[in-house]
Amino acid sequence: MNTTQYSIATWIGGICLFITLSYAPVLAATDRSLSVDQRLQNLEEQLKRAKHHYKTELEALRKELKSLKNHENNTEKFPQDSSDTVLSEKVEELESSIEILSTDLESVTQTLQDRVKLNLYATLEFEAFQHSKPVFDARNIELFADVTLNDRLRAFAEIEFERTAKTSSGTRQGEVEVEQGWLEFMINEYVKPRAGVILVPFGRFNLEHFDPVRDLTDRPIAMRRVIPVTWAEAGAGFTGSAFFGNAFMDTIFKNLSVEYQFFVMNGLTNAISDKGTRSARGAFGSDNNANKAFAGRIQTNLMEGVEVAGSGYMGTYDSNGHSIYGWNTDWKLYYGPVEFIGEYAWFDLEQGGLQSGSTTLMVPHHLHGGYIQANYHFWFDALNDSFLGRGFPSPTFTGVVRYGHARINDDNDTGTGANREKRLTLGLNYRPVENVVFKMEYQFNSTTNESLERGDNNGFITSVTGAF
Amino acid sequence: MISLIIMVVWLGQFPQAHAEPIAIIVHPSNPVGSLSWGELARIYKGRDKKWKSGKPIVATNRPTDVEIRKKFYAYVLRAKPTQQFRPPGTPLPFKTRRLKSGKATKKFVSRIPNAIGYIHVRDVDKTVKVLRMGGYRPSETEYELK
Repeated sequence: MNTTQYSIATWIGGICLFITLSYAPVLAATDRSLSVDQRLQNLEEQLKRAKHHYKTELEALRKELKSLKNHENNTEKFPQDSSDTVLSEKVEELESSIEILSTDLESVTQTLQDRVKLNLYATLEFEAFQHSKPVFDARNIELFADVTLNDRLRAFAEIEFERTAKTSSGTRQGEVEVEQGWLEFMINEYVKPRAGVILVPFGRFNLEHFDPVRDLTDRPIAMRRVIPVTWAEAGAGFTGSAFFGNAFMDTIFKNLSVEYQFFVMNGLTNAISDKGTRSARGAFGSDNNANKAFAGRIQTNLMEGVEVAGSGYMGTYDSNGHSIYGWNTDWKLYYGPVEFIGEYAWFDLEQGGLQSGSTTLMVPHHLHGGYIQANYHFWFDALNDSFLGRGFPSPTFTGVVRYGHARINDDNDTGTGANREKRLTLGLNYRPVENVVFKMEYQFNSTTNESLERGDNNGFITSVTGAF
Repeated sequence: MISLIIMVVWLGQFPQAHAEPIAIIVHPSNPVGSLSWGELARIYKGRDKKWKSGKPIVATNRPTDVEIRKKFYAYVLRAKPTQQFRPPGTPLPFKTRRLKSGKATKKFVSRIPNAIGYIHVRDVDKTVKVLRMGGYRPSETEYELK
């Protein structure tokens, strides 16, 4: 260290010593001026202030805690998922309201539709028989109009477009035929007068002739040759039904009911031959005699699965008052998937029909025939996901066996003896829904004397038909 | 004998299956108060389409896979729940109004004066009228549709 450095350090040290000595008496005087009591008092005051401060803070915290507890309690009363429950209830209520609204809307729409119903069914067939060419047959389209004018007035029409082509002659000829067209005035359930072109109430098959209803394509021989299905006549009468089950409530007859139809009409003409009655169906606007024919049917639903009916027909078939009488019985028995149905009809004709005082017409003295049929409805659950079952609530197969025959006495034409034809049919059909059906069947036919329908030719028929 | 008693006691501890009655309901303004099971079957088969007053019957139904429909069809119609019925004189099956739930059925019947439906007794309230069926009410032990 040199001299200059030494002198600077000396000066700094002196200055620091001066400052220290200058303030020292003041600091010493302050401590000395406060007594011990005062210092204690100061400390007590500071402690009081601290106590007050912390007390205030503690109270604030307690309040906060209390409010938190209250909140927690409230939260316990309304658990986390309560809002979800309320919401789901609201949603359910809303859905229910929407459903009600839609059903209300549907109801209104349905009510309008119920007033006027337009339906149709169509049938396409293919058949291949011995000694004939296989052929597709666009057999018919039938239109239905069912009009409910009010609760007691109803009009109904069934119009068939047979072979669905134009009605002129030629290779594409067809036919338009009114099969039903009537007006019904309901007095009550027991008596419902009906007038117009009506289905003759002679046997179940004529009344239920619709293709989608039947399980086989071809009609039984007797239902074409003995009874000329579809048999419609211009006439008037009434239908009705009565339920008697309440009188037998605890017995097997608790479903007992009776349904009936009675009509007066023009009736069959003298064009009855040993080929049957098809050509004898009366015209809708004329009659060959003044006598009116009468037909009636009574069906009893004896118990669940037992329906039995009887029908009758009487009239004159020519202008000389020669009579024709008919009887028919039909039945439908069903239990679970099994059905037994059948029908048998007879016609007796008074001989000697003389047409307008000219030629004596010979008609068969007697016609009769019928059928019995067994149906078995089934389904394989393994097919539910196949193309046959997918998307359909209740698809069904039906196996069918039917035997039928018709026998018609000779009419003294070139053929001699009664004509008789028998048919055994084995069939299977598939219904994806009740009113659409794909049918296939094989027929074994045999005939005696003149052929009525298929002769001795066996063959295969398949068809598709649907009602919409 | 002891084993029998033990078995009875053991079985007794399990709650017994209790079938709930199914009520047949109509609109409160409907004058009909009772039906037989046969009459109800005719309504649901499309054979009876009108009330005695002449008003058309609006029959409600439930989806085919619902238990209540299975019971209803099995007992009343003796049929599978998927079966369709075709009334005479038409090629088309009889249609009913299908509703999703018992609540919807009750509301529908309470709104449509000519409607009829079936719901569980627990769903019944005063907005609909419960019919006496076969002479019995659903609350009576003789009531058969359960």
